Amino acid sequence: MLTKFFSHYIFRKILFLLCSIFFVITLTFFLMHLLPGDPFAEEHSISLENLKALHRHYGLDQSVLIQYFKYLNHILHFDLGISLKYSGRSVTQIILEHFPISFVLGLEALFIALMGGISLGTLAALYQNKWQDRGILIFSIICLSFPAFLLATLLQYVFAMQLNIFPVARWGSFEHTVLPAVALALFPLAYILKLTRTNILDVLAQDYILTARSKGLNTFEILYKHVWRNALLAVIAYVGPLLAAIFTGSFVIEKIFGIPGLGQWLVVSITNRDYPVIMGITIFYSGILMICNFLIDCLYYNLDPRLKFYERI
Amino acid sequence: MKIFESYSPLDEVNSPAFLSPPSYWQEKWQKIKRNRSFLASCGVLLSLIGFAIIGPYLTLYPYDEMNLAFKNLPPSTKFWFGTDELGRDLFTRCCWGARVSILVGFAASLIDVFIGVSYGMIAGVAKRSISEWMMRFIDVVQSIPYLLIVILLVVVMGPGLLTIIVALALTGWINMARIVRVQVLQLKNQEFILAAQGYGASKLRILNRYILPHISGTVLMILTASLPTALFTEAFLSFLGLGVQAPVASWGTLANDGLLALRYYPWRLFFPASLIFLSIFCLNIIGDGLRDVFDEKVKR
Amino acid sequence: MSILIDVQDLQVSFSTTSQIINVVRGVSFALETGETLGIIGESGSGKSTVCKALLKLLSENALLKGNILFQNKNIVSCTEKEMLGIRSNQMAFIAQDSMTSLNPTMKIGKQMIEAFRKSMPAVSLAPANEMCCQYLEKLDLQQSQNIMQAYPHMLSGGMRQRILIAFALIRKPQLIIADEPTTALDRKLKQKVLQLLKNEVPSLLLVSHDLESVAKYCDKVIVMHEGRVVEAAATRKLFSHPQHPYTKTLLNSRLDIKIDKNKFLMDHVFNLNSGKLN
Repeated sequence: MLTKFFSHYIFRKILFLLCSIFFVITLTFFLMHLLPGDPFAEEHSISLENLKALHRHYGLDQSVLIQYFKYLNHILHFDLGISLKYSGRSVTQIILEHFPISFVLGLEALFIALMGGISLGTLAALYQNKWQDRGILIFSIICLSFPAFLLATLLQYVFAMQLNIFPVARWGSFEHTVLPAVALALFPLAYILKLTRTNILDVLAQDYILTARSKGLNTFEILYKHVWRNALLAVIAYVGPLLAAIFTGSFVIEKIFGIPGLGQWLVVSITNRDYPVIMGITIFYSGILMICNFLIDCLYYNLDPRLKFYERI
Repeated sequence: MKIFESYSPLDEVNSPAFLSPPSYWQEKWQKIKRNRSFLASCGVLLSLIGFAIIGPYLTLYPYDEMNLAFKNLPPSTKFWFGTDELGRDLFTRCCWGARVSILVGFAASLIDVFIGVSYGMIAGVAKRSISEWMMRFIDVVQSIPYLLIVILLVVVMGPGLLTIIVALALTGWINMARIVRVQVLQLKNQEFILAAQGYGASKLRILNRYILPHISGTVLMILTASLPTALFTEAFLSFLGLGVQAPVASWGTLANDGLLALRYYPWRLFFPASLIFLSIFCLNIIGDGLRDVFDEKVKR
Repeated sequence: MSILIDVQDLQVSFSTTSQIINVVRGVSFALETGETLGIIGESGSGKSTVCKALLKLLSENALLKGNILFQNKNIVSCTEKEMLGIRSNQMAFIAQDSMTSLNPTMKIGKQMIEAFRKSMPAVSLAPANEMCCQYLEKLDLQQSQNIMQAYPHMLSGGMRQRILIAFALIRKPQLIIADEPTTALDRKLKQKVLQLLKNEVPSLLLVSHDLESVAKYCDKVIVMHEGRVVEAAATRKLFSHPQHPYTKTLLNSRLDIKIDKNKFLMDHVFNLNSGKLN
C-alpha cells in the first residue's frame, strides 16, 4: 500500500515541492532587501541613535546573508516576524486570525465555480452550435472580460445598493458571503465552463464513444459513464491555477466588500510598505498553493491509470 | 438532446466535384471571414486603437490641465465624458489612458512572445538532457504564484510604466515557451526537417525558415490570449495603487479613481470601465476565433 | 431464407464547413438470414461508412438518404430511441480501430459487462463475470480474469481487437457488422476468430482487406469502389470469374486463388511477385 502511493512519481513531486518553496522564500527575501531606502526613514524624523537602535532591534544592521539565514531559521520555527506598522502583532498571529475568513470565502467561490462551470459547460457541449451553446459562450466571454474590481463593484451596486437584496459590505452572516463569493467565482466559472466544454467535445469525438454508442447506451449513460471521467481529468488539472486565481482575486474582493480577510491585509500592507507582513503572507500563500498543487497531482495520479503504467524508473 | 442523430431523409444532396484545396493561409482566411463576431471585434478593436491615436487631437484639452471650476461635471457637449475631481477632461484622459494601456499590453505581450518563442525553440531542438533541465526550471518558476511575483517586483522597483511592462513580461513567457516547445518537438521529427538537414541547412536556418512559419498560427493564438491578461494585471496593479503614477493615466488608474466616486459621479467609473471591458471582450472573441481556426484538434 | 437487411440506394454525404462530400453514392444489397456477406474494396471506398450507416452511428454532420429495411423498419427514418433497442439486442458493430476504441480510463471487465447490460439487464455481477471470461477464452485470450481487471493500454493491439469482438459476441445479436475485425491478428488466430463469428452469430457482414478470409468465409461478396457497388456475386463466382474490370485488378494484385470446384475449398498459391502472405 505504501509503495503504491509513495512511488517514484510522488517522490519527485515532493522533492519538487520543497525546492519550490525554498526558491520562493529566497526570492521574496532578496527582493525585499533590494528595496532602496529604509522602512523607518519615512516616519517623522528620527534621530540617528534611535534609527540605529531600531535597526539593531529588528536585526537590520547585520549583513544580508546573515539576515537570510536567520530568517530561514525563523521560518522553520513558524516565526514569520513582527509587523512593522502594527507593532506587537506577529505576522503568524495575523495570518491565523484572518486566514479562516478568506478560506471560507474561497471555499464558497470554489464551489460555485466548479458546480456552475461544469454544468454549464456540459450543457454547452451537448447543444453545440445551437442557441443554448451560443448563449452560454457569450455569457462566459462576458464573465472573462470583467476585471475583478469592476465585477465586484457592479454586483455591489446593483444587488446591494439599488435592489437591497444583499448587504453591502462587511462580514457576519451567510448573506454577507453571497455577493463576494459570486464576484470571486464568476471568472473561474467561465474558465472552467470553456474547459469543460472543449474537453467534452474532444471526448465525444473519440472512437470509444462510438463503441459505447454501438453497445446501445443512450446519451445520458454515455455522458455519465464515459465522458465525464475523461473530460474532468482536465478540469482537475486546472484546479491548481484556479486556486491561485481565487487567492489573488480575493485581494480585490475583500477590499471592496470590506471583508477582514488575509487578502485585504496583504493589500493594506503593500500600501504601508510593511515588509515582514508582505513577505509573510506571500510565503504563506505560495506555500498553500504549492501544497494544494501537490495534493491535486496525487489525486490526478490516482485517477488516470495511464500515469502509473507509463512511469519511468 | 439530439447529439447523435443524423439528418434524414434529405431532399437534395449536392455533389460538387472535389475542388482543389486552398493553401494553408487561404483556408484559414476563409474560415475567419465566416466568423462575423470575430470581424466585428476586430473592427471595434481597431477603432479603439484609432481612438487612442487620434482622440487627443479631437479635443483641445491637454490631459493634465486642471481647472477646478469645472470639477466633477457630467458628460456634456463641452466635456464629452465629463470631468474628474481636478477638472480634467475625462475624454482626453481616456484617450491617453488608452495609449498607456495598449502600450503596456502590446509591449509586455511582444516581449513575452519573443522570450517565450526563443526559449521554446531552443528547448525543442536542444539535446534531451538540456531540454529537460530547461523545462524543470520553467516548472519551478511557474509554481510561484504569478501575481505575487508581479506585486513584489512592482513594490521593489517602484511603480511606473516600465516597471509594469517588465513585471508582466517576466512572468508571462512561460506558457508560450511550453507550447512552442511541444510544437517544435512534434515538427522536429517530420520529414521536411530531415530533408532540410540533409542538404546542409544550419540549425538556425531551419528554425527560421521552416519551424517558425508553422508555429506562427499558435503563437498568434497565444499572443491574443496574453493581451487580456496584461490588461487585467495592469488594472489590478492600479487597483492596489501600484499602477502608473499621476498625472499619467491608464484605464486602470482612471477606473480606480472612478471607483471612489461611484456614488455621486458614476460616469467617472463608467467610461474607463466600459473601455476596459470592451477591449478585453473583443480580444477574447478574437482569441476564440483564432483558436477555432488554428487549433488542429477541433473537429467539425 | 428471408431477407434480414435490405439496403436500397443508400447515399451518405458529410457536410463540412466548405463543401458537401459524397462518400456513399447509391449502394444497394441484401443480406439474408444465415448468410455471410463480405464487402471488399480499397481504402476510402465507403465500406466503413456503409457499416456505420446501418446502425446510424455516423457523426452529426452526416446526411442519409435511401432505405435500409430491417425487420419491418426503415432504419433511415428510425428515431434514436428505436436505434438504441436495435443496437443493444439485434445488431452489433465491431469497430475498425482497436487502438482508440476502448475507454482508456475504464477497466476492460466493466466495459464488457456494459456491453450486454442493455440486452440482459437481469444478470447479476458474478454470472456476468463468468460469461465474460467464457467469451474471452473462446477468443483465445487466456488469463481472462487478469484481462478483466486490466486497462486497455496494458494490452497489445491484437488483444484489444479480440476484446472488441467479444463485446459484439456476448450480446448474442442476430447480425454482427464487422469492420476489418482481424487486422491485428496472425493467420491462425484470424481463422479461429472468423470461424467463431460464423458459428455464434446467424448472419455476418464482414468488411475486410484480407481477400483470403473473405474468400473462405463469405457466401456472397460485394465490391465497392468510390462509394458504389461495382459488382455483387456469390463468392465462388466472383473469385473465379470477376466481371467488372475493377474487381479484376483488385483480385489480381494480391494472390492467385485456385478453386476446387468439387469441394468449395480454396487453396492459396504464394505468388512470389506479389509478396508473401502469412
